[in-house]
Amino acid sequence: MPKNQKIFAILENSLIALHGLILILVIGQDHIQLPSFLEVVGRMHPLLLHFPIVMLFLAALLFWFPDALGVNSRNAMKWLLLSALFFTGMTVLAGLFLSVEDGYVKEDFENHQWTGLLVFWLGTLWYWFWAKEKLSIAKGLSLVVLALVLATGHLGASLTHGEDFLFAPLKSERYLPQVSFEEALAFDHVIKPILDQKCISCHKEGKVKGELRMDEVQYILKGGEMGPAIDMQDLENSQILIHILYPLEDEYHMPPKGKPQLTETELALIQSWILDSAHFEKKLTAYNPESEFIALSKEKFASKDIKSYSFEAASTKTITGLNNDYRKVVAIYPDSPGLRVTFFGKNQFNPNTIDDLKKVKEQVVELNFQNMPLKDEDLQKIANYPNIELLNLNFTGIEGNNLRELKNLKNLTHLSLSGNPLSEAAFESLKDFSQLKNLYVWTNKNADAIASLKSHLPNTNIEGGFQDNGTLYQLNAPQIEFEKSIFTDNAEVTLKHPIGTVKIFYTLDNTMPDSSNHQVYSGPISLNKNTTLRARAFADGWLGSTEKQAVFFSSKIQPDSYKLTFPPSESYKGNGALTLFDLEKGDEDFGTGKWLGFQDTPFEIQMDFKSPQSLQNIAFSTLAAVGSYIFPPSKVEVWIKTHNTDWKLIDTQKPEQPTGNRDRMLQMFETNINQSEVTAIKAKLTPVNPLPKWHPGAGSKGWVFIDEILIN
Amino acid sequence: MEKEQFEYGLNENRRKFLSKVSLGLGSVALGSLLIPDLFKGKSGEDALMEALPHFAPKAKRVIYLFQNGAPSQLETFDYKPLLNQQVGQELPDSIRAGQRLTGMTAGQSSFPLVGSFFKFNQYGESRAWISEAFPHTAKVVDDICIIKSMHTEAINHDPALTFFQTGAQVGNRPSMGAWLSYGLGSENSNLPSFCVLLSRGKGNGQGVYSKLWTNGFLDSVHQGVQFSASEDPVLYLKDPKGMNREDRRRMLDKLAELNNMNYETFGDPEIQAKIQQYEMAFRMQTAVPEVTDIKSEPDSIIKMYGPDCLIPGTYAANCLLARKLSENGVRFVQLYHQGWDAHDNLPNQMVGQAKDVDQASAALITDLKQRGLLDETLVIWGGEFGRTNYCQGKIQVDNYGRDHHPRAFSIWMAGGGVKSGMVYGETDEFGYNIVENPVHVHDFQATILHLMGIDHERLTYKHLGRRYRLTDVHGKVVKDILV
Repeated sequence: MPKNQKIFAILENSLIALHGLILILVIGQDHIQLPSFLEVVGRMHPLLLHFPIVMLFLAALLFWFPDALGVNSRNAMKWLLLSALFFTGMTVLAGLFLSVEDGYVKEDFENHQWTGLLVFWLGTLWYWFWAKEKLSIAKGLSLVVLALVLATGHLGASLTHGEDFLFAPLKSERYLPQVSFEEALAFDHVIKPILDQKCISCHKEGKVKGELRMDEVQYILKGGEMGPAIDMQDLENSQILIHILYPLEDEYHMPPKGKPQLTETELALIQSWILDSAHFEKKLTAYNPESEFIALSKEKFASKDIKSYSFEAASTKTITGLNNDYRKVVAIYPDSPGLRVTFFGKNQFNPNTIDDLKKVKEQVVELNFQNMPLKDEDLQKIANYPNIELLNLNFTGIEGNNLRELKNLKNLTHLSLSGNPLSEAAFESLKDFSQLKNLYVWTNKNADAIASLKSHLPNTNIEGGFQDNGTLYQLNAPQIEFEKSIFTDNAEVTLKHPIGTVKIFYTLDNTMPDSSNHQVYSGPISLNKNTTLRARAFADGWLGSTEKQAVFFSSKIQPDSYKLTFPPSESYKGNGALTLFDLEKGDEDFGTGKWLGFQDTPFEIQMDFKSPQSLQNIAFSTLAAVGSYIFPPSKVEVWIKTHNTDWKLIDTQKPEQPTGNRDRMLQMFETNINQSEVTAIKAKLTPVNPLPKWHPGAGSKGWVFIDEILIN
Repeated sequence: MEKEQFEYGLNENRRKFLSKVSLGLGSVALGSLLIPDLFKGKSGEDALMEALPHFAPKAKRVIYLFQNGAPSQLETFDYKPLLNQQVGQELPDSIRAGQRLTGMTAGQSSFPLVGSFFKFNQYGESRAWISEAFPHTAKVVDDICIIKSMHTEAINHDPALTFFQTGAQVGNRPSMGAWLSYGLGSENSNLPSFCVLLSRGKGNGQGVYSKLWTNGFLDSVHQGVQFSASEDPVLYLKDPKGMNREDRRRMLDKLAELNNMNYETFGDPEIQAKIQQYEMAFRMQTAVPEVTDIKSEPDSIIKMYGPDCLIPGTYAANCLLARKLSENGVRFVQLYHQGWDAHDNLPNQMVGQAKDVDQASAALITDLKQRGLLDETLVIWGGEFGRTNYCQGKIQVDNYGRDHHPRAFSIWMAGGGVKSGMVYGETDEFGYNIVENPVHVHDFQATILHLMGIDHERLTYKHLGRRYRLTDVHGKVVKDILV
């Protein structure tokens, strides 16, 4: 293959590769994540782009006037066009890479990108048709490509050199810098931007709909075919106002349906400005600060810039470099050069790292050392940051003997020193901090010092915080901890209180523990019979706690077999009859599966013993939750059978029924047996039916809930 | 020969075709390497995130003390003496105006008005009326803004709660904390940005479900992390027995090496995310015990919050923990305190519930204030709806119940750019309808986002073909209560 052909083949193949690559990048443009070496390629875009411009023009020249150059035009043409397209592709590729970098707004470069892509695509078609000898199509394409090259170049220049760079010298346009609220003018900075955005596209030089221009004040006052847009004699009937207030469906509503509409705020702004005599030159500060117009305008300024600083923002790279897992350095709000620095993790804190921040010495305006262990001498380091406004030194452990160091921080308005063992010297030096607006010195010990400080700093809001003035607060009850409240042999009970220094008094005889009858808790208590344990906590400086109770039951005997006559309700069936003998006490939450519930049928059970037993008593542990229709049983009946007698009813109880609403409670029904040779027991608990009249569910059936049967 | 030539031509073409196709495909593949999430269908949300917050925030963090079950406004902040005068009289139809009722009272033949069992007094410079059940809240009245004109759309707990938290009654949307985490990220990279703390009072309770702190369709890192009341506030954070910190470090380093090898092969950014999450968990192992340690709190703090704050899992303990998490940079701390659903036995239950929350809620305000943090922390107290002005069930002066009422209820907000010592909105003299400055749940949400520096209309996430936001297509910032 001749050398030429080989190069042509390489160029053609690269062209195909470039097309594939570019196509996919265009499709997935929003998702590109570039490694940094490709960013370098991207930045070569401004260099590369000169090649295709020149080469495409040369190729066109050769194509249209092949004889003029007097060379072997076919080969030369192929050479030139192919390499021109190759460079076009490379330029487009670099451009796509460049577009991914920060700082470009898609809308701005979109047109440039598409014309550039068209150059590449149509250029390739030009080459293809030329190679296929379809010269008329090729000629047409060549012209389109050249036009597109010009357009792309112009759009590109606008990107780098600014909008309409080329024609800018022909125009004179007012350039409005961003201003603060204090400097802003009512019309120029509040109203005009709205008109520019929503109105002038149809009311300007060259497009004067309704004979109205709104691009200059004079035209606004002159008005259009309907009259003055703003009528200084009759503000309420200004045409702007009338038109923007028509309902959207109205033919005369402005901006017309389908165009971007005024937002509510914009409408209110225009309305309030016009009705407030439509001043064109008035400063915002000259308005009544209470007026609606100012209230609305303020928002516009507030949302951009609350406070302007004289220093420049630090570079993103510097800021990123200062951030780590235990130190956050961020702008105090978007676009602000001021930085907030927060330290986290006291175990990781090293005061020497404060000095890292010197790189952003000017920019640091908020410093938060809360809970970080600081020494008094570290305050010198902090004094290095001249623009600090907020300094949080809560619970840093400083005594503040050299707080004086910070006195020269003129911008310091917010100083938090709470929770530190501040010395007298510290309070003394604080008296000179007249620049402070807020000072937080809660320590609970320095009530006098704070009062004296307040008289020295009348313009500072000094927060002394909660002062423990000797009010006695009630302790909370101790906690009673145990594994099971029902036991077969014995139960071990532990008493605890979250405040370590309290004494816990307890009784085991169901009396309220007080000074006369108690035992002082010293270690785990062992119980071996039915017991009610009551406990209270006491400590100096506190009122004695309320009491805490727990009831313990022994259950020494278990039946060998048992059977429920009726199954429990489907919703509350727990683990079946087994639930009754698992020694697991249910609590007031009856949905936990530790309870059996009966509504339509009574609870009835028969328990058998293989070898006859000598029994003292039997108890049924039940729940009453009146609000949930769970009542004490209307009747409790117990039968026993002994070795030599048949069933005998030994007990019938009719538990007292609630007469009104009350809290949930656990209830135990006990029957004394005191009989030997017992071979079986039968018990029946009948639900209340119907519920009493006072109850919201009057007339319907009540429930019986039971969680445990205890036999001794 | 002709055949060979023909085949040669075919081969030549096929070879050329294949080589060009593979060249083209190869270049596509090369290009797609630069676009890791090309086929994931995500849009330019990342670009949006860079622009957040949208403006200077007033509040940096939120602590939301949710009173789960709906406390009655009539026994807390909305003083209606008329109801005490007209006890037992029928609620006028003109006032009820066809309000839909829950199944619990819809069948009632009469709707007897019932007044508050608790006396009301005026407090502070704002002279706001507060019930005697809340003596501590009364002391901080000049630091809070009581909104008496909240209203919602749902009449039952689950949809109402879900509506409050996610902006929709049906639960598949991200909750407020998740939205904030998504919008603002984490302040402290050693802790989650959204934490949830649960407690339970003795009153009639309603469930809390993890869907209330769900990330919905947002990335799962924005899900609320529930702290438990046990010895391990964050489950599975401790190293297993026998593994010390150096071992864990070495294990993570080795694991990261392996993961990095995989990353180099596949380039999946999820692998890097995973490595980062392991690292965060490692840092949380020291950060969480440091933050949750209440032993270092001074005695006066214990007195302020009440001694219950030393018992993990109580509301008081959660308030204290909320302050500690918040001051350590957790964006959104969400508390739920159950037990406010007083359909019956209201006076009794109210005493217990108020005792649980009053002191600690007020202490949280005071505590933040004395640290200089109240200005930058938004504290919110309130339930999912209010309660009816008529009695549910049998009426007695000292024992009555109230059903759910969505049309008007009270909450309070404090700090973080909200006016202090203010009472906003008014209900009619029956406490049934709002007569002034209604605040819808979406307005409330829009206001919270606004205080955090977010335009609620611009914090969106594209899911199932449309952009979602917390306030759906509603919500107006309540500017009157902003500083």
